[in-house]
Amino acid sequence: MKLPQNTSTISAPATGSTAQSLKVTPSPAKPSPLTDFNTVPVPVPGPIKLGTWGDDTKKALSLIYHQPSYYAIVEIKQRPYHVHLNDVVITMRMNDCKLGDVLQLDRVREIGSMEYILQGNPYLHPDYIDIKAVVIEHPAAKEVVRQHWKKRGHDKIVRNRSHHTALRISEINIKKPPPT
Amino acid sequence: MATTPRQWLKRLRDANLIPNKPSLSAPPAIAHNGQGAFIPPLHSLHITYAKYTLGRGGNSKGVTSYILSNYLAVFARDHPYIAISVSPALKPTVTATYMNQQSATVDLAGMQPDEVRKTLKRLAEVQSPHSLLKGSRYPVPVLSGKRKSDAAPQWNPLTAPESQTYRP
Repeated sequence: MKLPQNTSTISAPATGSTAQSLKVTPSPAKPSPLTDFNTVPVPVPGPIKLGTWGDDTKKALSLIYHQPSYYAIVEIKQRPYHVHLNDVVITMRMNDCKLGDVLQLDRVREIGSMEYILQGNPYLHPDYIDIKAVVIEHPAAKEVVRQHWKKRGHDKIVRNRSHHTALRISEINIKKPPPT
Repeated sequence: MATTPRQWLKRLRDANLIPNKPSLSAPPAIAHNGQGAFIPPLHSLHITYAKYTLGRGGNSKGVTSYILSNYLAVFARDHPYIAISVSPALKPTVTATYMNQQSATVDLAGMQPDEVRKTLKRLAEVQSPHSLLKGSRYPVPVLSGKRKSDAAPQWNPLTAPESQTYRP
Protein backbone atom coordinates (compact mmCIF):
# COMPACT_ATOMS: atom_id res chain seq x y z
CA MET A 1 0.00 0.00 0.00
CA LYS A 2 1.37 3.34 -1.01
CA LEU A 3 1.23 5.94 1.72
CA PRO A 4 0.18 9.50 0.81
CA GLN A 5 3.27 11.67 0.38
CA ASN A 6 1.90 14.85 1.88
CA THR A 7 1.10 13.63 5.36
CA SER A 8 0.76 17.07 6.82
CA THR A 9 -2.50 17.97 5.12
CA ILE A 10 -5.69 17.14 6.96
CA SER A 11 -8.62 17.34 4.61
CA ALA A 12 -12.11 17.85 6.01
CA PRO A 13 -14.84 15.38 4.93
CA ALA A 14 -16.64 16.35 1.73
CA THR A 15 -20.17 17.22 2.81
CA GLY A 16 -21.17 19.40 -0.05
CA SER A 17 -19.61 22.58 1.36
CA THR A 18 -16.20 23.70 0.25
CA ALA A 19 -13.75 21.55 2.15
CA GLN A 20 -10.59 23.45 2.92
CA SER A 21 -7.51 21.44 3.66
CA LEU A 22 -5.78 22.60 6.84
CA LYS A 23 -2.04 22.64 6.58
CA VAL A 24 -0.22 21.92 9.79
CA THR A 25 3.24 23.44 9.54
CA PRO A 26 5.51 23.15 12.54
CA SER A 27 6.38 26.58 13.90
CA PRO A 28 9.95 27.27 15.00
CA ALA A 29 10.41 26.57 18.73
CA LYS A 30 10.61 29.84 20.60
CA PRO A 31 12.56 29.86 23.82
CA SER A 32 10.23 30.33 26.75
CA PRO A 33 10.61 30.05 30.52
CA LEU A 34 8.76 26.74 30.40
CA THR A 35 11.24 25.04 28.10
CA ASP A 36 14.54 26.82 28.72
CA PHE A 37 15.05 27.03 32.43
CA ASN A 38 18.59 28.26 32.24
CA THR A 39 18.53 30.71 29.38
CA VAL A 40 15.31 32.68 29.65
CA PRO A 41 14.88 34.45 32.99
CA VAL A 42 11.37 34.78 34.39
CA PRO A 43 10.68 38.47 34.99
CA VAL A 44 10.17 39.12 38.70
CA PRO A 45 8.33 42.33 39.57
CA GLY A 46 10.65 44.50 41.63
CA PRO A 47 9.76 47.10 44.25
CA ILE A 48 8.34 50.43 43.12
CA LYS A 49 10.73 53.32 42.79
CA LEU A 50 10.49 55.76 45.66
CA GLY A 51 10.52 59.50 45.18
CA THR A 52 11.76 61.96 47.78
CA TRP A 53 11.06 60.82 51.32
CA GLY A 54 8.44 62.75 53.25
CA ASP A 55 9.15 64.46 56.59
CA ASP A 56 6.95 62.03 58.54
CA THR A 57 8.80 59.09 57.00
CA LYS A 58 12.16 60.59 57.92
CA LYS A 59 11.06 61.29 61.51
CA ALA A 60 9.70 57.77 61.98
CA LEU A 61 12.80 56.15 60.54
CA SER A 62 15.15 58.31 62.61
CA LEU A 63 13.29 57.28 65.79
CA ILE A 64 13.91 53.62 65.08
CA TYR A 65 17.39 54.26 63.64
CA HIS A 66 18.66 55.56 66.97
CA GLN A 67 17.58 52.44 68.89
CA PRO A 68 20.47 50.25 70.11
CA SER A 69 19.39 46.91 68.66
CA TYR A 70 16.81 45.57 66.24
CA TYR A 71 14.92 42.38 65.51
CA ALA A 72 13.42 41.60 62.13
CA ILE A 73 10.84 39.22 60.73
CA VAL A 74 12.14 38.17 57.33
CA GLU A 75 10.86 35.66 54.81
CA ILE A 76 13.29 33.17 53.35
CA LYS A 77 11.80 30.73 50.86
CA GLN A 78 8.36 32.09 51.83
CA ARG A 79 8.82 31.12 55.48
CA PRO A 80 9.04 33.78 58.21
CA TYR A 81 11.96 33.89 60.64
CA HIS A 82 12.28 36.14 63.70
CA VAL A 83 15.97 37.13 63.67
CA HIS A 84 18.49 39.30 65.46
CA LEU A 85 22.01 40.27 64.54
CA ASN A 86 24.48 37.35 64.40
CA ASP A 87 21.76 34.72 64.55
CA VAL A 88 22.10 31.48 62.63
CA VAL A 89 19.03 30.66 60.55
CA ILE A 90 18.52 27.06 59.45
CA THR A 91 16.56 27.04 56.19
CA MET A 92 15.79 24.61 53.40
CA ARG A 93 18.81 23.69 51.35
CA MET A 94 19.75 26.16 48.63
CA ASN A 95 22.08 24.50 46.15
CA ASP A 96 22.76 27.72 44.24
CA CYS A 97 24.55 29.20 47.25
CA LYS A 98 28.17 28.42 48.02
CA LEU A 99 29.88 28.95 51.38
CA GLY A 100 30.59 32.62 51.95
CA ASP A 101 27.89 33.97 49.62
CA VAL A 102 26.13 37.08 50.92
CA LEU A 103 22.35 37.20 50.46
CA GLN A 104 20.40 40.43 50.52
CA LEU A 105 17.04 39.70 52.17
CA ASP A 106 14.33 41.85 50.62
CA ARG A 107 11.15 40.21 51.94
CA VAL A 108 11.05 41.95 55.34
CA ARG A 109 7.72 41.87 57.14
CA GLU A 110 8.64 43.80 60.24
CA ILE A 111 11.58 45.44 61.93
CA GLY A 112 11.52 46.66 65.51
CA SER A 113 13.26 47.34 68.78
CA MET A 114 12.35 47.83 72.42
CA GLU A 115 10.30 50.99 71.80
CA TYR A 116 9.31 51.14 68.12
CA ILE A 117 8.08 48.72 65.48
CA LEU A 118 8.00 49.29 61.74
CA GLN A 119 5.52 47.02 59.98
CA GLY A 120 5.28 46.39 56.30
CA ASN A 121 2.17 46.01 54.17
CA PRO A 122 2.99 43.19 53.54
CA TYR A 123 6.70 43.96 53.11
CA LEU A 124 8.94 46.93 53.79
CA HIS A 125 10.67 48.74 50.96
CA PRO A 126 14.36 47.77 50.57
CA ASP A 127 15.32 51.44 50.30
CA TYR A 128 14.62 51.79 54.03
CA ILE A 129 16.28 48.60 55.29
CA ASP A 130 19.41 46.54 54.69
CA ILE A 131 19.46 42.95 55.94
CA LYS A 132 22.28 40.64 54.85
CA ALA A 133 22.89 36.97 55.50
CA VAL A 134 26.05 34.93 54.91
CA VAL A 135 25.92 31.26 53.94
CA ILE A 136 28.09 29.41 56.46
CA GLU A 137 27.20 25.75 56.12
CA HIS A 138 25.09 23.16 54.31
CA PRO A 139 24.37 20.73 57.14
CA ALA A 140 22.43 17.50 56.99
CA ALA A 141 20.09 16.54 59.80
CA LYS A 142 20.20 13.26 61.70
CA GLU A 143 18.76 10.40 59.71
CA VAL A 144 15.25 9.43 60.75
CA VAL A 145 14.46 5.72 60.34
CA ARG A 146 10.86 4.63 60.44
CA GLN A 147 10.29 0.90 60.78
CA HIS A 148 7.07 -1.02 60.49
CA TRP A 149 7.20 -4.72 61.32
CA LYS A 150 4.39 -6.54 59.62
CA LYS A 151 2.99 -9.87 60.76
CA ARG A 152 3.64 -11.88 57.60
CA GLY A 153 6.95 -10.38 56.55
CA HIS A 154 7.24 -7.50 54.02
CA ASP A 155 8.58 -5.22 56.71
CA LYS A 156 9.00 -1.59 55.80
CA ILE A 157 12.00 0.55 56.60
CA VAL A 158 11.92 4.17 55.42
CA ARG A 159 15.00 6.35 55.84
CA ASN A 160 14.72 10.11 55.68
CA ARG A 161 17.43 12.71 55.94
CA SER A 162 16.68 16.38 55.50
CA HIS A 163 19.25 18.84 54.20
CA HIS A 164 19.54 22.44 55.30
CA THR A 165 21.46 25.65 54.69
CA ALA A 166 22.76 27.69 57.62
CA LEU A 167 22.72 31.47 57.22
CA ARG A 168 24.26 33.94 59.64
CA ILE A 169 22.54 37.32 59.78
CA SER A 170 25.51 39.63 59.46
CA GLU A 171 23.72 43.00 59.11
CA ILE A 172 20.43 44.57 60.12
CA ASN A 173 20.60 48.25 59.23
CA ILE A 174 18.16 51.06 58.73
CA LYS A 175 19.26 53.25 55.87
CA LYS A 176 19.55 57.00 55.96
CA PRO A 177 17.56 59.15 53.55
CA PRO A 178 19.30 59.90 50.24
CA PRO A 179 20.94 63.33 50.00
CA THR A 180 18.59 65.87 48.39
CA MET B 1 44.84 22.61 104.64
CA ALA B 2 46.04 19.76 102.40
CA THR B 3 46.23 20.47 98.69
CA THR B 4 43.31 19.01 96.75
CA PRO B 5 43.79 16.97 93.55
CA ARG B 6 42.49 19.90 91.55
CA GLN B 7 45.13 22.17 93.03
CA TRP B 8 47.86 19.61 92.30
CA LEU B 9 46.75 19.43 88.66
CA LYS B 10 46.73 23.22 88.37
CA ARG B 11 50.29 23.41 89.71
CA LEU B 12 51.47 20.73 87.31
CA ARG B 13 49.81 22.49 84.39
CA ASP B 14 51.30 25.84 85.32
CA ALA B 15 54.72 24.18 85.46
CA ASN B 16 54.07 22.57 82.01
CA LEU B 17 54.71 19.12 83.43
CA ILE B 18 51.38 17.77 82.11
CA PRO B 19 49.70 18.81 78.86
CA ASN B 20 47.54 21.89 79.23
CA LYS B 21 44.43 20.81 77.31
CA PRO B 22 41.00 22.42 77.84
CA SER B 23 38.70 20.14 79.81
CA LEU B 24 35.73 18.49 78.18
CA SER B 25 33.34 20.08 80.67
CA ALA B 26 34.47 23.60 79.79
CA PRO B 27 32.02 25.41 77.51
CA PRO B 28 33.18 25.52 73.88
CA ALA B 29 34.03 28.83 72.27
CA ILE B 30 31.13 30.57 70.59
CA ALA B 31 31.35 30.42 66.85
CA HIS B 32 31.39 33.82 65.17
CA ASN B 33 32.07 32.73 61.62
CA GLY B 34 30.28 35.05 59.23
CA GLN B 35 29.77 37.98 61.61
CA GLY B 36 32.58 40.06 60.16
CA ALA B 37 34.37 37.86 57.68
CA PHE B 38 33.61 34.30 56.69
CA ILE B 39 36.44 31.76 56.92
CA PRO B 40 35.68 28.41 55.31
CA PRO B 41 35.98 25.75 58.01
CA LEU B 42 37.66 22.95 56.03
CA HIS B 43 41.45 23.39 56.03
CA SER B 44 42.94 20.28 54.51
CA LEU B 45 42.14 17.00 52.86
CA HIS B 46 44.58 14.12 52.86
CA ILE B 47 43.62 11.45 50.32
CA THR B 48 45.24 8.02 50.41
CA TYR B 49 44.99 5.08 48.04
CA ALA B 50 45.87 1.42 48.49
CA LYS B 51 49.22 1.15 46.75
CA TYR B 52 49.95 -2.57 46.80
CA THR B 53 46.70 -3.82 45.25
CA LEU B 54 46.48 -1.34 42.38
CA GLY B 55 47.48 -3.67 39.58
CA ARG B 56 45.39 -6.54 40.90
CA GLY B 57 41.96 -4.96 41.16
CA GLY B 58 41.84 -3.67 44.69
CA ASN B 59 39.49 -1.18 46.31
CA SER B 60 41.13 2.04 45.11
CA LYS B 61 39.91 2.12 41.51
CA GLY B 62 37.44 4.91 42.21
CA VAL B 63 39.92 7.00 44.15
CA THR B 64 42.69 6.66 41.58
CA SER B 65 40.45 7.45 38.63
CA TYR B 66 39.09 10.44 40.58
CA ILE B 67 42.63 11.72 41.10
CA LEU B 68 43.85 11.03 37.54
CA SER B 69 40.79 12.49 35.84
CA ASN B 70 39.82 16.16 35.92
CA TYR B 71 37.61 15.78 39.00
CA LEU B 72 40.21 16.50 41.67
CA ALA B 73 41.64 19.46 39.76
CA VAL B 74 38.15 20.97 39.40
CA PHE B 75 37.52 20.48 43.12
CA ALA B 76 40.84 22.10 43.97
CA ARG B 77 40.13 25.01 41.66
CA ASP B 78 36.69 25.59 43.17
CA HIS B 79 38.06 25.43 46.72
CA PRO B 80 41.42 27.25 46.66
CA TYR B 81 41.49 27.51 50.47
CA ILE B 82 41.79 23.72 51.01
CA ALA B 83 45.22 22.09 51.16
CA ILE B 84 44.91 18.78 49.29
CA SER B 85 47.54 16.08 49.55
CA VAL B 86 47.68 12.58 48.10
CA SER B 87 49.82 9.71 49.29
CA PRO B 88 49.98 5.91 48.96
CA ALA B 89 48.94 3.83 51.93
CA LEU B 90 47.37 0.52 52.79
CA LYS B 91 43.73 1.67 52.56
CA PRO B 92 41.90 4.30 50.50
CA THR B 93 40.70 7.00 52.88
CA VAL B 94 40.27 10.74 53.10
CA THR B 95 41.11 12.66 56.27
CA ALA B 96 39.52 16.08 56.60
CA THR B 97 40.85 18.62 59.11
CA TYR B 98 38.63 21.51 60.14
CA MET B 99 39.10 24.93 61.69
CA ASN B 100 38.27 23.64 65.19
CA GLN B 101 41.25 21.22 64.86
CA GLN B 102 38.93 18.25 64.65
CA SER B 103 39.47 15.73 61.93
CA ALA B 104 37.36 12.99 60.39
CA THR B 105 38.41 9.99 58.33
CA VAL B 106 36.08 8.54 55.72
CA ASP B 107 36.74 5.16 54.10
CA LEU B 108 36.66 5.25 50.30
CA ALA B 109 37.09 1.52 49.67
CA GLY B 110 35.11 0.25 46.71
CA MET B 111 33.63 3.64 45.86
CA GLN B 112 33.05 4.87 42.33
CA PRO B 113 34.62 8.22 41.30
CA ASP B 114 31.24 9.91 41.50
CA GLU B 115 30.76 8.71 45.07
CA VAL B 116 34.23 9.99 45.97
CA ARG B 117 33.29 13.35 44.48
CA LYS B 118 30.10 13.48 46.56
CA THR B 119 31.99 12.55 49.74
CA LEU B 120 34.50 15.36 49.24
CA LYS B 121 31.68 17.78 48.45
CA ARG B 122 29.93 16.82 51.70
CA LEU B 123 33.16 17.27 53.64
CA ALA B 124 33.66 20.76 52.19
CA GLU B 125 30.13 21.93 53.03
CA VAL B 126 30.15 21.12 56.73
CA GLN B 127 31.53 23.07 59.71
CA SER B 128 32.74 20.18 61.84
CA PRO B 129 33.01 16.39 61.50
CA HIS B 130 30.41 15.87 64.19
CA SER B 131 27.63 17.29 62.05
CA LEU B 132 28.94 15.27 59.11
CA LEU B 133 29.05 11.89 60.76
CA LYS B 134 26.10 12.13 63.07
CA GLY B 135 23.93 14.97 61.79
CA SER B 136 22.07 17.29 64.07
CA ARG B 137 18.42 17.79 64.79
CA TYR B 138 17.52 21.45 64.92
CA PRO B 139 14.63 21.98 67.37
CA VAL B 140 14.27 25.64 66.38
CA PRO B 141 14.93 27.20 63.01
CA VAL B 142 16.87 30.15 64.45
CA LEU B 143 19.85 29.76 66.80
CA SER B 144 20.30 33.03 68.64
CA GLY B 145 22.48 34.36 71.42
CA LYS B 146 21.62 35.60 74.89
CA ARG B 147 21.16 39.31 74.09
CA LYS B 148 18.00 38.88 72.03
CA SER B 149 15.85 40.27 74.85
CA ASP B 150 17.46 43.68 74.22
CA ALA B 151 15.44 44.07 71.04
CA ALA B 152 12.15 42.63 72.31
CA PRO B 153 9.37 45.22 72.18
CA GLN B 154 8.00 46.30 75.54
CA TRP B 155 4.58 44.97 76.38
CA ASN B 156 1.86 47.44 75.51
CA PRO B 157 -1.83 46.67 76.20
CA LEU B 158 -2.86 48.26 72.89
CA THR B 159 -0.48 46.49 70.51
CA ALA B 160 0.63 43.31 72.34
CA PRO B 161 -0.05 39.96 70.63
CA GLU B 162 -2.33 37.42 72.33
CA SER B 163 0.54 34.98 72.91
CA GLN B 164 2.32 37.50 75.13
CA THR B 165 -0.76 38.53 77.09
CA TYR B 166 -1.86 36.97 80.35
CA ARG B 167 -5.59 36.91 81.05
CA PRO B 168 -6.39 35.58 84.54
